[in-house]
Amino acid sequence: MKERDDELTLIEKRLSKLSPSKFREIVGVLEESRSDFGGAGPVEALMSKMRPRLVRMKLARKLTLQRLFCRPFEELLTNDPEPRGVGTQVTRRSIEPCWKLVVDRADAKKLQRFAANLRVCSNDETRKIERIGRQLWAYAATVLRGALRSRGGLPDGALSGLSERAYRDILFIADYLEVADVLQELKRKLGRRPLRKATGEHIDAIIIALEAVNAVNREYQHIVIDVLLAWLKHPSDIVAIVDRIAVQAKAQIDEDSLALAGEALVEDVEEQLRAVTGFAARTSERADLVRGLRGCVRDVIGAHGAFQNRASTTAMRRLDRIRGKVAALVAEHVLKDADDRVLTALPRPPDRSATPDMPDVLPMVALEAPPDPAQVQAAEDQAIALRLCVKYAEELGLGPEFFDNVESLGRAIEDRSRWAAVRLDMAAMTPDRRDAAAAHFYVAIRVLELVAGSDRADNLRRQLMGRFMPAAEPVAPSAA
Amino acid sequence: MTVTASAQKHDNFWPTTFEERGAVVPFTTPVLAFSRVRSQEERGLELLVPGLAGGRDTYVIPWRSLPSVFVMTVHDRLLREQIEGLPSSTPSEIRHASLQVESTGLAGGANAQAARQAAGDDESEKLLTNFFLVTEAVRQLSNGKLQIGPADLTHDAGRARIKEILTRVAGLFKLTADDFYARLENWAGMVAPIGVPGLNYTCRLRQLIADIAGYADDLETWSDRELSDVSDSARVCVQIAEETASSARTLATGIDRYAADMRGTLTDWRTSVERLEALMAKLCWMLDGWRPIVTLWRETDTGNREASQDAVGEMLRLMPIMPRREVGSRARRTWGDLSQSLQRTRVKAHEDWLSGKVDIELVLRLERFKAIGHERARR
Repeated sequence: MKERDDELTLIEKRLSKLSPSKFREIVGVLEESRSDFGGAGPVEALMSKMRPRLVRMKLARKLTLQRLFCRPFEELLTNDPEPRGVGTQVTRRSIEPCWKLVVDRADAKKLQRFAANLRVCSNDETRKIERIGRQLWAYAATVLRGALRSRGGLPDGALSGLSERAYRDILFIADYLEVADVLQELKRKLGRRPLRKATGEHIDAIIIALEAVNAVNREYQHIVIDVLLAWLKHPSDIVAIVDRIAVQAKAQIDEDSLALAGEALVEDVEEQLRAVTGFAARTSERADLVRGLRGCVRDVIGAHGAFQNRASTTAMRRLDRIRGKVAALVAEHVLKDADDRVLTALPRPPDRSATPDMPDVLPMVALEAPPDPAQVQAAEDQAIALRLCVKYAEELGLGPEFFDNVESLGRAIEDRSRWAAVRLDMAAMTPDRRDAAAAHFYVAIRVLELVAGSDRADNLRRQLMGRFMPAAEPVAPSAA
Repeated sequence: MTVTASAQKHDNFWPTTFEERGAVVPFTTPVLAFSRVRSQEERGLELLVPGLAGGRDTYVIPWRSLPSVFVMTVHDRLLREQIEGLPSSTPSEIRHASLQVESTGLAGGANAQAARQAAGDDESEKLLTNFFLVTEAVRQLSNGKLQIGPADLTHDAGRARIKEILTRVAGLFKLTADDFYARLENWAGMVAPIGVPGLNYTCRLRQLIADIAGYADDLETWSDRELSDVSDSARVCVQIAEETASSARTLATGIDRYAADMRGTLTDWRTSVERLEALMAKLCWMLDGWRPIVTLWRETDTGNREASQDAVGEMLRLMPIMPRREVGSRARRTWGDLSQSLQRTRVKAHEDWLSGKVDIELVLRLERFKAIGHERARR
């Protein structure tokens, strides 16, 4: 087994060096020799080694029966083994057991007929492929439904070996396949993912899909919502969409589905918050944390807007709680110690009130060595984090505290720099020391720009740097 | 944001010369990113901003008006002042000025480090090219009978030997060893950005030519699987990149030829220097503006369709088109067609990019591009 793995690794290395055209050719040959019904042979093992490059190149893969089977719900597939959050998602790990169940329980001759019909289709025969697909999905739904029908409340042997997740996914896929053709038509009308804005035509298409789904089973309305959540660029739009449907075609959407859209949205925001909270505990990069929080804040604000016409006090309460948590995260991880992190990189005048006789020598001596890169990086990171938060401070209820902080920080940067500048004895400084002092002032200008804007920072530059002109030549790094 | 009354607008801008096209200024203010500066006899310096209003036109803005028209980053204000003081606004001069400004840290600590590293790499390229030219001169001019190596530099006897060899070789041209060495040093200074064939180091511009060719391949692969109109735009970029890489390779071969025939080069030294200078200047102009494009595409997550389409829109806005008079009569037709296609296929760039607001994330992104653009390939 180890020998085989070694060989595969060797082949994988060689494959990665092939030109794109040669690689494409080899993929074509391997695809041709694969079994129609999947499995775990050497070709599959090799294909799994090629997958990373296949994904990168996004090659048009040969359409197999298994791939056609997954096509209706492919947008809901995720690599996450335990997907949570907005809408229903199916983990890719569930595909293999689900397809195996279909193959084991189906009439082999019928599947072979589907496979033979598919084999003679070229990739551009989309209508023909779609027709075979519709037959396959309807048949697979029946097969799965039969397999899932439990006797005495217990699933039969083939199902008992499945994980809880796989079992739930198979139940969902069985439901989905019953209305697959309706959803394929809906997806066609929604156009390419992601959908930025739902137009009247889109709403009409969704209503038609709901009508068709209701004709099969009203409980499947949630599948339409799942597909929409996967399609929308901003999942928070879902609430407004279902509200519009409730106005236009109340009979087609049940109260449960309306609630589901709101629930799904709140769940999504909560999931995002959980991820960011975990990230906050692991990182010291404050700007990255703010970037992570941004999506969360945007969705909380979007959801607030969307829920305004709803009498859902529970959802609103949950949203308020999320907003409070986000604000606490910002206060703890962005505002706290912000001054220290930024100002550490700048010269600090001695505290005259505590020690009146303290001379100015020490802070000025510190200017003679180049700035500490780690301190500069921390100061920049903090300043960027503050700047990124400007947009959201008001929405998070942190307005006054935030803006006071930024204003006092800006003033402190200016005061410290000016204080040091007037004490510099330029005539007595060697070129190296002058360059080092200039570098400190440039750090001050940079962080002031990030915190308080370019105009104010440029004023400081003019005040400080006139004495250093002309600007230093770029210094090549030392051999060390 | 309003553009001053002194700003002009060019429709279907296809410049006549490189100087008219202008040199790319690596500004970090998003609305000014990748715009070009040129010097006009009557009007002085001016900035050419493509697609300022999200359209197809190129706006021409007087250099001095920039601070009153745009809210510029402090980095850009200092760079503007530095460029104003330059004797000429060629790509090499602009690069030097930009490295100076970046090394202050006004575009971030990482950028300052990258600029200092780039300045160091430039120096290394010069030294390596110089040493290679010396060893190659000795080898070629002694018909392979004499050789010097780096080890000779490490001890007194070796250095004395080098001096003796150089004196002998210099005698062929009736020069002293010092004058002979000065010529080679001058030569190395001129061609260091592209290096010389056989050098065990890929110099900056040679790497860029290879990267442009690689960019064309990657973008073509992407456009093959892109089904929207953006694939047509991407193919225009591919064609421009292929044509540019091919022309640049031809120029590089011309420059390399001088190192292959050192006797001829050194015999007719004055003419050789003039030609080498002209070829290098043309090569620098030709490749000007390509590094940010290559970096932009490399940094694009091609798995994200929307981001890739936006990147193609941005790249179309920035595509350096070869000027009319800088190409031969046969290539002029190709470039004329490409220039037309570029005008026809321009897609609307990302709104934020041109909104005129200083969006800090866009500024940081541009700063990152600058830092990455300075990185030399791992060798």
